[in-house]
Amino acid sequence: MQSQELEDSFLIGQISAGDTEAFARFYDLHSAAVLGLVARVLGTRGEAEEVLQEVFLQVWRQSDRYEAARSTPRGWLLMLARSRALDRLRRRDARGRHEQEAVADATFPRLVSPLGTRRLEEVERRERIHSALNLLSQEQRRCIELAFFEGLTHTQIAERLAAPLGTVKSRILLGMNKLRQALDTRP
Amino acid sequence: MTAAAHSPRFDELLPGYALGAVDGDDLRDLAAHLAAGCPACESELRRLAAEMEDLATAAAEIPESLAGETAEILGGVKERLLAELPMQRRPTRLQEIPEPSRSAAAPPAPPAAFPAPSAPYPAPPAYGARPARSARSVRRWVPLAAAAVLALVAVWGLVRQASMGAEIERLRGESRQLAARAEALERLAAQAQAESQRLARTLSIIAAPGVESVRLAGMGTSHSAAGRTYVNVADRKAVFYAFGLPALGPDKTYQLWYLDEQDHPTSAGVFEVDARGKAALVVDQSLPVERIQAWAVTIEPRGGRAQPTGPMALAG
Repeated sequence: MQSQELEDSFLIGQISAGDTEAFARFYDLHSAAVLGLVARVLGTRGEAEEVLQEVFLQVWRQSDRYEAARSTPRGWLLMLARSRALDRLRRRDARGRHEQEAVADATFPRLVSPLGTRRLEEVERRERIHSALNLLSQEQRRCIELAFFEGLTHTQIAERLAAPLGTVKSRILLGMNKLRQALDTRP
Repeated sequence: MTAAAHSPRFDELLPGYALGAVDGDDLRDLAAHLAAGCPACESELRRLAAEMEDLATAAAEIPESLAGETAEILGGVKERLLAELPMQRRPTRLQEIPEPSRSAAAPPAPPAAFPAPSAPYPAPPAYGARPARSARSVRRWVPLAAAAVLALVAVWGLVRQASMGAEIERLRGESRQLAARAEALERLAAQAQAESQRLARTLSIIAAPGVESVRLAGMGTSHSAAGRTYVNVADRKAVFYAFGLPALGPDKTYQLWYLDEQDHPTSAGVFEVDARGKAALVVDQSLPVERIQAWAVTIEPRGGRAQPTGPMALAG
């Protein structure tokens, strides 16, 4: 277990017990990542701020639901953030306001931004993931991005890209497998 | 729906499932398969969760459009969160908001295809709101309100207890009455059953061919009484009826006799009369019908005697 994961697990336990200082520490560690993720899905500052607040309120209220066997605390938090952002995106689309909203930068960044406060461990990790993403074909990457950032299904991606359904399924499968091979340092 | 066994098709669908992209028949079949429990798929989904975390990490770069505002956004949200936390009560188990992707009974849902429904959180406070003052006001009233509720509950409990006590006593009384009524009905049913058997036995004796009837006349103080004996020669049984016999004291009883050629009496049984002086007796012993010459009824001490000792009431 990485040292960050160890600290995160401790903090989640403390948050479950109602420790606001632990909550503040967990927020300091991960709020920038959550903001980055939800901002890429939603594209507007106002909505990103609201979802950021919703996500951490959910952490405060439901930290006892975290299951260490299924994911790391950070993975749990980021998936929670993605779900809430996609919820917001779907509600926006249902209201037909898509055209009025700013267009999100719903892609995986090509480069790791050189933020000075970021720890070396995290920088290395991001560089490794970006290297793996660069191994994907443009089509594979696009299909995965549409699923990840917009919550589209196989059928919806096929319609969006005017591609055969079977082709979309294959691109996602091959793309995810390629990422796995490149990143497979986990047990 | 029967879940399909593990197959390469499910292996191929799992990465898309982790992304939330699987839909249609694929989703239906895979969800049923996962709900039935598949260790191989569960293990693969755990690995895919790590891959999804990697993707999220790659995506979690602050967009350039917000790069200059990040510190302000994060600081503002943190301030509002920490102000709001004391008012945020964790839901009890009964109030829990469903989170479909982490239910033990349900298949592990992909994080994006079935995101947790929007929870009914209170709206975030507006900028400049003063939640702390509101919280103090609430805290001041909470003990008073709690005390009032407890007092009401206590009074209600006492009233309810008294009311329930009376109700229990009433139900016990009803129960006792019902038990007594059931006992009386059981006795009546037993009597009716005995009477029915007696009548059936009587009928079987007097309705047969070859039955001989002997009339008995009243004697002495029972001169207005009468009786009749029906003798079934074939099965050697008899039935006796009497009318107009006076009621006897508790230490006396009527006794029926039959007499042979030598006028030797043999007891055929004892009987009581009802309020109207009527009586019936089935003589269920094997009678020497060829030798019977006469019938008689005497008044005997209670229980009867082996030989007649009292006055004769009927004879014939």
